[in-house]
Amino acid sequence: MLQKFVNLEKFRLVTRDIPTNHLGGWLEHSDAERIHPHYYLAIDEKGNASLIPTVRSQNANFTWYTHYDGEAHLCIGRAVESAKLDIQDFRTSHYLSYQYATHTQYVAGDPVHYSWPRNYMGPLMLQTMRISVEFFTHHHNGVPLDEFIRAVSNLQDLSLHIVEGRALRSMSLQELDMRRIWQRSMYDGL
Amino acid sequence: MATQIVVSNAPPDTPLSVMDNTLLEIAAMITENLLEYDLAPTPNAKYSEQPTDKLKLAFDDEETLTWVTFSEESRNHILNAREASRKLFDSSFRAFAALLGDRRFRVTPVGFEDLEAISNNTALIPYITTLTFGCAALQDRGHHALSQDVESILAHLLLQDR
Repeated sequence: MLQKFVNLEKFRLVTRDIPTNHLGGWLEHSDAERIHPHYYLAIDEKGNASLIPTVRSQNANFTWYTHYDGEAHLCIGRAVESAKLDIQDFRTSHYLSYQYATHTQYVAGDPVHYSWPRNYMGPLMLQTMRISVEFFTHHHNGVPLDEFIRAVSNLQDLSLHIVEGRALRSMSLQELDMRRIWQRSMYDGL
Repeated sequence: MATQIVVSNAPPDTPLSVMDNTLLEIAAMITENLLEYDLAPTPNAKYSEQPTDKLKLAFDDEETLTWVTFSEESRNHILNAREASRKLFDSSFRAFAALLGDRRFRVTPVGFEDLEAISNNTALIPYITTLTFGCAALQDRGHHALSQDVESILAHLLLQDR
C-alpha cells in the first residue's frame, strides 16, 4: 500500500500516541460516532472536545491504551522497509513523561528495538531527522548514533530529544558522545 | 460539513458557479493560498514552531510534535472550497493532499481503509508528500494475541505490495 505513495518525502510518527479519533484531532461535534466505543466524547462549554477513556470496558481483556505502541512501531517499520521508501524527512513526536524513556516494549515476550530509522530508510536521502534518543537506546547490536549520523551525508536538520536524561542511563556514553557527533558533523560539512 | 473528508475523483454535484469560469491555474493558486500554518501569533513563532490549534485532551500526559500542522481554519476553508465549485475541486488536490499529511493514520481497520482509499485515488496520490502515523490503538490481549495481531496487520499492510 505504501508503495503507491510515489512522491512520499516526509514521514512522521507520533510515538506514545494518545488516541483521540481517526481524524487525528479534527474533532467536531458530529464526529462522536467515529470515536472508539471505549471512549466517550466530552465537549465543554467552549466547544473544546475531550476524550474520556472508560476505565474498564465490558470486555475485560480489551484496553485502548498505548502501553503496547511498540507493536505499531514494529508494523509501521516493517511496512516502510518493505515499501523501500526514500524518506527525506523523518520526525517523531516527543513525549513529555518519565516512563517512556525507561519503559521497554515487548511483543510476544521479545523486546522491541527502536531501530528502524537506521535500518529501514535510505540514509543518503535523509535530510531532516527529529527523533527521540530512545530510538537508539533500546537497540543492542546496531550502529551507534554517531556512526549513523555520519552515514547520513545529506542531513541538514538534526534534532535529538532526551527525556530528563533518563535515556542516557540505558545507553553507554560511547554510544552518545555528542562531541564525536559534532566533530564528525564538522568534518562532513554539515 | 466542515470537516467532511471526500476522497473521490468525482466533482461535487453542484451547479456551475462563477468560479467555474476561472482558469485552472488561478483556481489552484487560490486553493493553495488557503493553506495556513497553525503558528502562535508571536514574533518568533516561525522559529519556535509553536502551534495554537491544539486539541484539549483529558489526559495529564502531553506530547510535543516536532512539526507544524495546518490551522483548523485552513482545513475548513479548503474542504468548503472543494464542495463549493467544480473548478476549485479540480484544482484543490495539492492543498487537500497537504491537509491529509496532518492526519494521523493508526494501525486500525479504519486507518487502513482510509489510507487505502487515498492510495487508490489517482488524482490525489501524486501530491501526497507527507504521511503521519500514530502508534496508538493496538489491542491488549496478552502477548500471544499481540503477536497474532502484528502478523495480521503486517499481512494487511503488505498485501497491496505483493
